[in-house]
Order: sequence, then structure tokens, then C-alpha cells
Amino acid sequence: MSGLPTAKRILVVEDDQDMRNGLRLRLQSEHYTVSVAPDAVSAVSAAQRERPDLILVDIGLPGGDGFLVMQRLSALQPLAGIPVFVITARSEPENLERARALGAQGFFRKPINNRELMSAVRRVIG
Amino acid sequence: MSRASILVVEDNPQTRKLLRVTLEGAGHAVREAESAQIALELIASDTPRLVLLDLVLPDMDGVELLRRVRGRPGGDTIPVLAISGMRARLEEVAGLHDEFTDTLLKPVTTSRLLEQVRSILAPPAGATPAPGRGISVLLVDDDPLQRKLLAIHLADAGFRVIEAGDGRQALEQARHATPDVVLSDVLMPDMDGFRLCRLVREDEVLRDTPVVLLSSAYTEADDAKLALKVGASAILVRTPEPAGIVRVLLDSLRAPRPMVGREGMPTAEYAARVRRQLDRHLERNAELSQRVALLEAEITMLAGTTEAIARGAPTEHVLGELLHRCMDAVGAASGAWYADGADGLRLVDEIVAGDDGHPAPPRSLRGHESAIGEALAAGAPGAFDRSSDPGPGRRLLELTGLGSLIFSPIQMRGERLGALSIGWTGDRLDGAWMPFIEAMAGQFAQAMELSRAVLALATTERNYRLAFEGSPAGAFIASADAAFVAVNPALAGILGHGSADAVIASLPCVCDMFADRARGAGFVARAREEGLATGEFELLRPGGEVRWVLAGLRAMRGPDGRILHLEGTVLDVTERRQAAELARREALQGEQLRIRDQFLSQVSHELRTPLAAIHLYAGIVNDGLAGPLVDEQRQHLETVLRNAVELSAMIDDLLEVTRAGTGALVIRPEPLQLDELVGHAVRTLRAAAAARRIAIAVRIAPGLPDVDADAARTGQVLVNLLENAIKFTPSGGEITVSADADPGTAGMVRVSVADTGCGIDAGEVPRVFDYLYQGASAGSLSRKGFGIGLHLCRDLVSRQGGNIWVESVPGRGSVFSFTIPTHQPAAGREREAA
Repeated sequence: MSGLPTAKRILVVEDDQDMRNGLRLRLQSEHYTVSVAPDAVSAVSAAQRERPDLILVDIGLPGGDGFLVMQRLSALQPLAGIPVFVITARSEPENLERARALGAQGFFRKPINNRELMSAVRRVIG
Repeated sequence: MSRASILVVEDNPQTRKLLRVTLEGAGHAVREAESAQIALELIASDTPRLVLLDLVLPDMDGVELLRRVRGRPGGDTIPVLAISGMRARLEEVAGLHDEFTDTLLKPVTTSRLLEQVRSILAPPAGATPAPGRGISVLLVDDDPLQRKLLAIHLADAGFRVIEAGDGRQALEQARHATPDVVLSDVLMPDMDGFRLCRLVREDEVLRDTPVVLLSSAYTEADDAKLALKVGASAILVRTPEPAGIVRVLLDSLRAPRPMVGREGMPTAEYAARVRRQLDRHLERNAELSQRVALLEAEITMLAGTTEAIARGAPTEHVLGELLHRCMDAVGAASGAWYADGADGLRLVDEIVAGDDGHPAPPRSLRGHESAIGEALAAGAPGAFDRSSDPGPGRRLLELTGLGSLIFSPIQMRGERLGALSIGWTGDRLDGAWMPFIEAMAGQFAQAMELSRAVLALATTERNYRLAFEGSPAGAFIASADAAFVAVNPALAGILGHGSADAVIASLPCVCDMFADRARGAGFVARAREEGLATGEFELLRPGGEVRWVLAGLRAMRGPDGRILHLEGTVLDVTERRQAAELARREALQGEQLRIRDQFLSQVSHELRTPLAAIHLYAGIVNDGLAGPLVDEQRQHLETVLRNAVELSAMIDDLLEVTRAGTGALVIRPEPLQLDELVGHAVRTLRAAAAARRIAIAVRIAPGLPDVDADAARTGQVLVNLLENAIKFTPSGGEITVSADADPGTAGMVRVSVADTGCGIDAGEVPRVFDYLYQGASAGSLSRKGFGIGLHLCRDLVSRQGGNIWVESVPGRGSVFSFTIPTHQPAAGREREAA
């Protein structure tokens, strides 16, 4: 638990603007540097540009879902090691399995329990 | 006389033979043709004097054949006599008067045939028109047939014929009216020809009348000498050809008056000659009777074969009977017939004259099959007697003690079917038997072939019958006008009738099978027109039950194109149709469910997204990120957050129960440790419980076996029960989660969640697991959601083979319990299955 500003950067990929802004607010309040992307394509270019320490990705995205984003990232060498948390409003258990299979280190269903999310973020990137 | 012959064109062998014998008996040379083609060939090789033409021939119409004959060079002068059994047909062709010379109706009588032939041929080509004109001849013969025949011939030659049946009558007649010449048979009862001649010579009036003697059998020099002595002009043998007799008669009239011996009747010589004539006659009679025996044997064979065909019975006993007849006819001592098998000849039947049932009597050919096979190796009949060259035949004679033997292969179209052997005790073989034995072998061949064919036909018929009777498909045969002829049991079953006979009796027409008779009639009409019709039909059973059938109908036509009968098949496709309909409905339902599932999933997603935003921002505000809050504000925001979470859980429940109902929810059991499962669920809710100051205790029985369960679904049940317990347990209460072996059912583990809550009224207990059930006491403490949670629990538990129930004491608490099967190692499960 660091109260000091950190250099840790988080990329939030979420198409719903309210959710995107709300998550940014939450993470910034914990002193992370947050960048956002509203779809799969801009998510990959933002990741290449920002080189975040963690990516939160929504599954339901326009122009290719969150799984596609994960596949793209793992195919790009410098980005492949970046930890990814999956967020979804969907309840199908298959999604969880698929996210795990693609290497997601966290899985959060909406509405997100803030306490759980923050402890997970701290565990992964400090 | 001309040697040109009469050509008999007739395909029926009996009629042909009859015509030939009759014509030959009248002295005509005859050639035979069984078809128009052969007739044309014979006419081309030698122009006949006359053609007898059957109007119905296998290869050509009689009228057409006549045209061809007429079309040949010189063919227009050949007389052609049309023969037919149909008067109308004869009258019709008689209209073609230029074409046919005359017509003759069957059955043909001898006299009518000869008369007509004579009238057509007279005067015979090259003969003096009537050499006997003006001459009277006294014809003496005791045989009325011979006398009649000769009388006709003589009349033809122009003679005036007076007939007498014996010598005495002849003398009387001659004394009454003196004939120019006497023609007498030699052998007659009471008074023979020699004596008659002598008496004529001694008669005052008749003494100069020439007498010609006619022997039916035989003449020798001594006969001629005696004839001369008794004053006969000549003695000659009766022949079918009358021209010789006419010539001798004419010669006798021109000759000088015959000498009459003075010494009277030469008694000793006369007696000797008469005896000799009688002997010869007897010999001839014996020959004739033998021929009769042979013919009789042939007829027996034909009759036997015919009978065998009619009865479809094996012909072996028929052939045995024939062998017997055959042996009788030829006076044989032994006879046997053999059939060819895989290992050569096999003795089928043997008859040994005087056989008293001894297994291998003397003269038996039993056991010598291979030697017989050897003797027949050349494929031709063989005859052996004691004078034959050494070889298999001679060896067999020695082995059997027989004097002579004839073997003949029984063959058909070059294939040997068996063999026939006939043996005699006499040392010298009568060569005359050879053709007879061969003919017999031919008859055997026909019979064996027929027997084979009949057997093959019977087998085919039996197979067909079996197939028809035993077929699981309905089958029937109907007449050309669609009346049932035969119905198999399967069809009777499909139609709902007790038996095939009941179908035939109650349904007059094939189309009556179908509920829509008009459609059925159209179906029959289509089969009749196009040869084949198929269709799916509804039929109504007598009890009113409706069945669906696939029916096929084929029209079977004869060579002339007429419909002989109809053959049909009927398949009951009711079940198939029902299954197809069900599958169609299921597919439709499946598709509808899939769409509903997809829709609900989408709805839940869409509902959850704004809910997540509400929850997120309420949290942000509540955590003071948007500025400091007073306590009351914070409390209200917490209520917002709690309700957002509750709403989210309700959306989950709704989706889950829908998925369970449509089968989209999949259970994947795996071996699990219960303490882990329980521990995880308790950890998930410990915070929520702690917030209400509720303690959760866990008691797992030691040594509890693993269970076969879906971790996620079983965890879901536990969480649900715990959430309910927390919801209904007042602050400071206690929840106990326990797991032990189910005392009620072996092989099951029981998991219970006990609370110290308000409990459930006894009346509500049976209904708490019902879908959409909400307790009557709801509302005071908390919402109960859609009434889905417990219903979903029951569904998840029962899908894993377990059971769920509740025991409750109002005011003291409830115990929710469910069971899960314990894990069975693979081997154990197999043993159980076995």
C-alpha cells in the first residue's frame, strides 16, 4: 500500500464510457497512471505505445472481443508478458475458462467488487 | 411309279406320326416337317407330290407358308391340302380357292384322309389310268381291314372288286358269279388259300379262273412250288404298295391256263408249307407283340413323367416302374439305373429277375459302378456278350454271371445325367434291343431333367413363398382389375385385419385399403398406365386407428402386353412419420430455446452493464473520492450498493434457471474433496456473515470419501444455501455447515447447512423448492428474489444424482441438506455395471 505516486501504468479497455471513466477514477485514486481504449484495435496500439504494467480488458468490445485483444498482445513479443485482468458483464462459465486458458491473471464480473479488484491489482503490480 | 413323296407339315408329333403311318400304310412315301422352315428346305431339295399343311405352325402361319411354296418355281402346281382343327379357319382359307387344293378337318380319320389324298393325286403320276378296268376280282381275306385296304387299291386301279371273308364264302360267291381272277390270302381259318385254289381248280365252272395267292408273312421256294402244284398263278408277299399286285393280277389273266396236278392235293407237302406259313406268321406276331411291349413301355414312361410333373413328386419310383416295364419288354434278367453325382455313378434302382431281397443277388450290378463308368467312358452306348473283346464290359459279365449286357448313358444336351444297364442270361446279344435301350435312356434323361426342373421350380416357389409369407413388409398380389388375390401376414397386420383371408374377404379392391378411396383408385390407375406407382397414404384400420403407409404397385404384363396381375408392397411408416414429426418439432423447439437462451444472456448482459456503472460510481462517491461525506449519506450509498449487488444476483439466478431448464447447463462431475468445496464457499461468505455478526462453523466427518460432483455447480448450491441462511439468521446467530456419510442411502454423502433463524412453517416446507415460490412470511426481513435460488439448488443436486430437503422448526431454525454420490473408482463402477 503505497500512498506515493507510482510509475505503474494501467491500460483500461472498456467500451462503456461510464465504466471506462469510473475505473480510471478508481485506479487514479490509488495513484496509478491510467490510459484507456474503447475497442480492441485501439487497445493493441495503446498497449504498444504505453507499455502498461497491467491491462484490464472487457470481454464485450466492438471490433473484436477481449479475448481477441489478449491473443493479439500475446503474439506481440514485448507485450506478451503484460498481466491481464478480464472484466465481463456476461455470466457464462465458459468465459472464465477461456480467459484462464489465455493467461488472464484475474477475472471480475460486473458489478465489480472494488476491494477485490484493488487487492488483486496491488498483488500483481504492487 | 413315282418316288416323289407326300410332305407332311405338322408341328404336333402325334398328329404327324398318325398322318405318316396312315399314308405309308397306303403305300405313299412320306417326308415330315415339324416347322415351316424345314418344310421349305425339304420342298427345295425334292418337289413333293402333295403337301399336307397344318395351318398353325410354330414359326409361320400356314397361309404364309403356302404363299412361299406357290412363289417357288413350279410351286404353283404342287397340290396343298390344308389341315386344321378349326372349322372356321378352314372355311376362311377355303375362300382362297386358288391357293389351297383342298381342306381337311382334324381329327383326321384314316379313310377320309386316304380318300382325299387319292382324289387329289388320281390319276397317279405316270400310271395307266385304270389297268383293271372291266376286270372283276374276287378278293378273299379273313382280315377285314387288310381286305378293305386292298379293295380300295384295286378299285383305284379300275378293278371291280368282290369281297369274301373266307374260302367257303369265296367259293359260293365265285360259283354264283364267276370272277375274272381270284386273289386270296394264304392263311385263313377253315379253308386256307392253297385249299381254296385247289377247289377252284377242281370246280367245273371255275377251273380256268386264275388264282393269285397272297402271303402276309413270307414265301419260300417251297411255297411257290406248292402254289404251282395246287394250280395258283402266283404267290406273292403282301406289300403296302399295291402296284405289284395289280401287275401280277394282270399277268395271271394273260398267262396260259394254269396246270392242274392230277395227283390231287399233295397232303404232306401242303401240311408242311401251311405249318411253315403259320410259324412265320406266329413269329411276326411275336415281333409285333414285342413292338407293342416296347411301345407300352414308352407310353408308361411318358405317362409316368407326365404324372410326376403334375404331382411335382420325385420321379425315382416312376423310373423304377419304367425299368421294370423295359426289362419285361426285352426279357432281361437284370436292370439298373444310375445317377451321376460328385463321385461318379450312383446306383439309384436295380431290378434283378427272381430277386428274393438278397442284398447282392447273382446277376446284380451293385457295386460295379466304377466299371460301368469305365465301360461308358466313350459316352456312347455299349453292348457286350461272351463273344465281345476283353474289356470292362466282358469283365462285368464275368463278375455278374450275366450272358450279355447293354449300357447306355443317360444324357441331355451333351451332359451325362446317369446310365442305364440291362442284362440278359443268354450268351448272344440281340442287337435289335440296342436302339430300344437307347430310346429308354432318352426317356430316362427327359424324366431326370424334368425331375430336376420340377425340383428347382418347387424350390424357387418355396423360396418365393417363404419370402412372401415371412416378409416384414406388407406384400400382395392382385388381379389385373385390382382385386386382392394373395396377401401376406405382414400386410394383414398393417391393415389391422386378423388374417390374409380376412383382408381378401373384406376389401374388394386394392384401393379400398386407403382412407381416401379416390386417391387409391388413382394410384391403381397410375400403376396400370405407367407400370409402376408409389405414394404415401393414410389408411383407416377397422378400429378407427389411422396409419400411414408407403405403398408401391407394379403392373406385371404378359408377352402380349396385357396386364396379367398387379404386385404391391406396403410399408407402415406411421412411426417413421411420427419420429420425423417429433424430430422436426424438437429441432424447432431446440432452435426456439437456443434463441431464448441467447436473448436472455444478452438481456442479462445489457442489464448488468448500467448496474455495474451504478455500483461503480456509488462506490466512488461512498469512498469519498468525490468529496467528503456525512455518515447518513454513506449509509444511504451503502443501501444503493447492496441493492445493486442483489439485483445482479437476481439477474444471475434468472439466467441460470433458464439455462438449466433448456439443458444448456452442463454438469461435469469429477472427483472432489468435500472439505475443500465447503471451505471455499464458507470463505466466500464469511465476510458477509461477519458483517451481520453471524458465526459459521464447519464440521466435516473424519475419513469422508471423495465425491463425484461438478465443483462449480455444487459450490453454487452451497453458496446459495449459505446466503439464505445468512439472510434469515438474526444478528448474533450461528450457521453450521456439516458433511457426513448419508445414513439414509449408501454411497452418498450428506451436506447440511443449519441456521438458527426464524424457521419455516410446516405448511411451506414441501413448497420451498418450487419454481417461483415465495414464502408467505416474505417481506419482513428481506426480499426473497424471484423464488429461484432453492429451485435451482434442487435442479443442480438432482442432476448430479442427489437429493435435497429441509427440516425446520419455526422460531428455532432450519436445516437444509443435500446428498452427492461418493466417488467410485473406475474398476468398482464396472463391477457394479456388470
